[in-house]
Formats: sequence, C-alpha cells, structure tokens
Amino acid sequence: MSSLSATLAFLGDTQRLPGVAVSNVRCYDKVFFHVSPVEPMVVAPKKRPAKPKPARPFADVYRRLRDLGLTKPFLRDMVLPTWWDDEAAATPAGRMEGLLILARNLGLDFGALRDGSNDLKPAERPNVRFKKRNDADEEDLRLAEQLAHQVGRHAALGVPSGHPLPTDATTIREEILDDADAKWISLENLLRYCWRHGVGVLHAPRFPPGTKKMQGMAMRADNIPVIILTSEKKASGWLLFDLAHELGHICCGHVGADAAIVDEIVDQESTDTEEAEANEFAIELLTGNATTRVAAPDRWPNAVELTRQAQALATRMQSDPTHIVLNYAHSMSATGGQFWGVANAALKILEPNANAPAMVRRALDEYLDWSALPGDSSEFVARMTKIGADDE
Amino acid sequence: MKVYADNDIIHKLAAFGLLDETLHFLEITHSDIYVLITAKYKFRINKRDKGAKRYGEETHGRICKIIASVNKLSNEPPSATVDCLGRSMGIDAGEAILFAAAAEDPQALILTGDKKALCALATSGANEIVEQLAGRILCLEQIVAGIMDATSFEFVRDAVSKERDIDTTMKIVFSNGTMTAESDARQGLGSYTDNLRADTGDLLRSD
Repeated sequence: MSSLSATLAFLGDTQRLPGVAVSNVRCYDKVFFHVSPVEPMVVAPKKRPAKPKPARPFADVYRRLRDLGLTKPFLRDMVLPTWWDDEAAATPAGRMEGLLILARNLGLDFGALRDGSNDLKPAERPNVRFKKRNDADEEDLRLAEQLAHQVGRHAALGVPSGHPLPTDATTIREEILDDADAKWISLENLLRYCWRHGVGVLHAPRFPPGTKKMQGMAMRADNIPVIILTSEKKASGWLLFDLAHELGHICCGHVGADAAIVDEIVDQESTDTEEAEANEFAIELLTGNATTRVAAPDRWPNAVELTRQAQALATRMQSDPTHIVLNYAHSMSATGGQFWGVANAALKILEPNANAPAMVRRALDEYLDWSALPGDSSEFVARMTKIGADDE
Repeated sequence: MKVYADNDIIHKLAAFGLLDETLHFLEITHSDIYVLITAKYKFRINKRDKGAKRYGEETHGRICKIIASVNKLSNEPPSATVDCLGRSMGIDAGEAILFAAAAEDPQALILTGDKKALCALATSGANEIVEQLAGRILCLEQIVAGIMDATSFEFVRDAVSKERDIDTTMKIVFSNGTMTAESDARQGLGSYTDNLRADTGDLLRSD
C-alpha cells in the first residue's frame, strides 16, 4: 500500500472517529492534513420506516360534501348508520353502498355523488315551495329542506293509515273536544289527533352547524302527509301553533302529492294567500274563531295577572292557555309595545317544566310503526328526531 | 349456483341455529353463498363484545363463523340498477346492492328475511329488475318449511321456538313453542308465504 493510499485509508478511519473531522486535505508530494476538534458527534437513533398512512377510502366523499355544508362529524353522527366503517369503502361494492346511504339520506342524486367529476346536485325534487321573508334566500334553506324532506320520506313508511282527515278546522276542533278529557286543543291532543288521522308529526331540530333551518314544513310522501317542526322552544304554545299552521297547509290542499311547503318562519302577519289561509285555519282550530285576537285594551297585566286571565279565558274559550298568552303577546306587539317578556314569564308560570319538543318525540315514538322502516332508515329518523334523547 | 343472502336472513337463521340445515336443504356449500361486503361491519364481526350484546353470544358466534366462510360481494353491481332500486325508500342500500347483483346472474337465488324490502321491490316500478328476479327469491317461511321437509318438524320446531321473538311471523306460527302442532305450523308457514306471494307477484320461487 502506497503512503498516499495509506493516508487516505487513515483519513477514512478518521472520518468515522467521533470528535474529529477532516477539514482540509491536499495531495502533493507530501500529504498534509489537519484535524480540528469539533463537537462530539451525536449518533442519531436508527430511523424507523414511516408507518404507512391508513387508507382513507371515503375521504374524497367527505371533502365533496363539506363543500355543501355537511361536516364529517355530522355525516358520521347523523347520516351514516352506526355500523358504517370507512374501511368498507375500500371495495367498489362497499363504497357504492355507502354512497347510496348518503344519497338516500341527504336527498342527493346518486349518480352525481358517485361520479366525482360532476357537481353534486339534489335528487329529482318533488314540488317544493318556500314560504319565506322577502330578504331571505331560498338557497340558504335548501340543505335543511333536503335533510328534513328525506327524514319525512323515510318516516312516511311507518305512518299508520288512519281515519279520514277533515278539511276544515271546525270539524277537527269539534272532534278533538268531543273527547271528555279534552278541555281545549292542546299540543298533546292535537298530536294524537294527527297521528290517528294518518298525519305523521316529527320534531327534527338537528342540522349541520351553521345551517339555516325552517320553522316548519308540510309535505306529502307517496301521498302520506308528514309535518316537520324544528323550533326548540319549550312552552307548548309555540309548537302548538306551528303544528296547527302546518296542518292547515295540508287540510287546505296546499300540499299536493309528493310536494312540500317549507315555512322559513310561521309568520302570522304574512300576506301570502296560503300562509294567511293556514294562519286562519290554525287560529280557528285553536280558538274556535279564525279572527280571535286576545288583547288588553285598558291596563296591561303583569305575568301573574296574564296567567290568571289566560287560565280563565282558556276554560271559557276551550283554548289552550299557552296559546292565549302567545296570541295576546302577538296581538299587543302589533300595537308597537314589547309584550314578549311578560308572555314568556307567564308561559313559565303556566308550564314550569315544559318540554314541547319531547312531547312531539314521545308521540312519534308511540305512533310511528318503526318496523315498517328498513333498519338503516329507522336509525336515521331516530337520530334526526332525537328519539332517545329524553332517556339520556 | 350463486346464492345471495341478505343480513336479515343470516341473522335469523343464525339465531335459530339453522344455517347448516339451509345449505343442506338447498344442496349448496359455503362457497356458493354471497353476502354484502359490509356484513362484517353490520354484524360487528371485529367487535365481539358489541356484537354479542346486540345479537346474543351464541347467535353472534354463528354469524361470525358463517361470514368468515362465505364470499363477500366486493364488485360493483350495475350502478343504474342500484340507483333505480335505491329510489324506493322501502329498499335499503344493502338490499339494493344485493338485488342488483342477483339480477345480473340469471341462475342466482336470493335468500331474504326482509319482507318489507320484497314488497317495496314489487311496487317500486322497477319492472325490468322485478322481471329479472322473478321466481328466484326465497323468504324465511319457505326456507323454514323446506328445512322441515329435509329434516323433521320436531327439529325445526325446537330450533325456531327458542328464538321465535326475532321474527313476527315465526312468533305467531310457533306461538305455542315446543307445543306447536305440526299441522298448525305448516299451515301457518304456507299461509304467510301465500300472503307474501300475493303482495310480491312472481318474485318468490314457486314450491
């Protein structure tokens, strides 16, 4: 071995010595090298091969749906069945099943959902009409309407056929009051009446975060009438009026086969013909007269007095006292004053433990024939309507 | 012969302990049976505790065993057929996939415990698919009656009676449990099959 190659061999060894590094080497006749001290070399631990990222075969679907305002947590917690595992989408048939579940529950076109290159669009829509304020955008309500519509379509399978539904408010009122236990038209007995006359009533308040929801909706699925309420106000008077109003849309023939009316708000001052008709129907059903307005022309009562007067009127008019209180607040507010505070206080006195949404849920749970729904459908309806929430 | 079995029939036959007898009655083996690829998730095959809690330990054990030994339907059936069937709210996504796959194979049979899906299929308006599936579907009542013929009435009565509550028809037909008379059971099964046949046109296999 020559001296140069021996030196290089030595250098090679040096390079591997901890604590030294070769800073300069020149190769002439003589070999010079300089060894300078450096920081002790830290021997890095052996790198483990990176774990392969778990396959996420449904990630593209979640991404596309997020653009519609549908978050992954909402899809997992509400729309996909509890048994669903994204891993199932790793096979074509499993993916197809997942997409079909989404399409059916979200009211989306299956073909568009399956073909990633197309814009997602709603499935063929029945005749849906929006009743909204002038400044409200129909598109803002679209997602809530689609979801509520699908919940209604699934639930319609289990709405028992009942007695024929009268078309006028007076007959319904008389039939309900014929029951010896009915002092007036309450939320409870109106719910019972609806279900026994083949009208499904659902309370579906769960929508993706940030979604603008409607206050009520009346629809027909395969000609089965279904009412969807969303208000989470606890006092029964609120949902009682919403229900009576939506029932009005159905009884007045505003909702044709496979059609729907979506009420952004149930507006008692609406000038829309059908809205005014549904309002009159509701007031007539609840009070016996389509023009009833409860007012206090002289002295404005406080909450306790309002409660007492509402109870007295309730017996006389056979009208729910919570409706009388709200009717009063509404009538008086039209004069420009602020009456909702005293009305809310009176409602709390009348119904200290009110939970109207729970009442609607109980009726749904009792009357819907859950066995008529496919398993995944009944789970979807139960989740969207918070069935079981009162047991938690 | 391919035999497509839905989750409902797997569950019910497993609960009755009649899975092997079904194969024997139909003269098929495990390799002839196809189930949904999602069956293992639906039945919580990898979550034994949850599965046992939901289906009962013994039934869940039988379900796990059969799912492990049969084919899983992993290829896409024609999407147009699935789309068409999926529009009917009474047919859930899994049934739509199974019906669509079976419609493609003129020799295939379908075993179903889901009468609602059958009625929904019959009235779905998907006439071409209904025609393709005509005479190729066996319902639970037909299978139980067939196993009775292949084994014995007493054997089937004892098997079904224990778990009769999981199916409305079986609950009625075997309402007297192990005291159920053979003539009553046979008449009941026949009558429910006839009723279903009346609601579903030509879909059920003729006996």
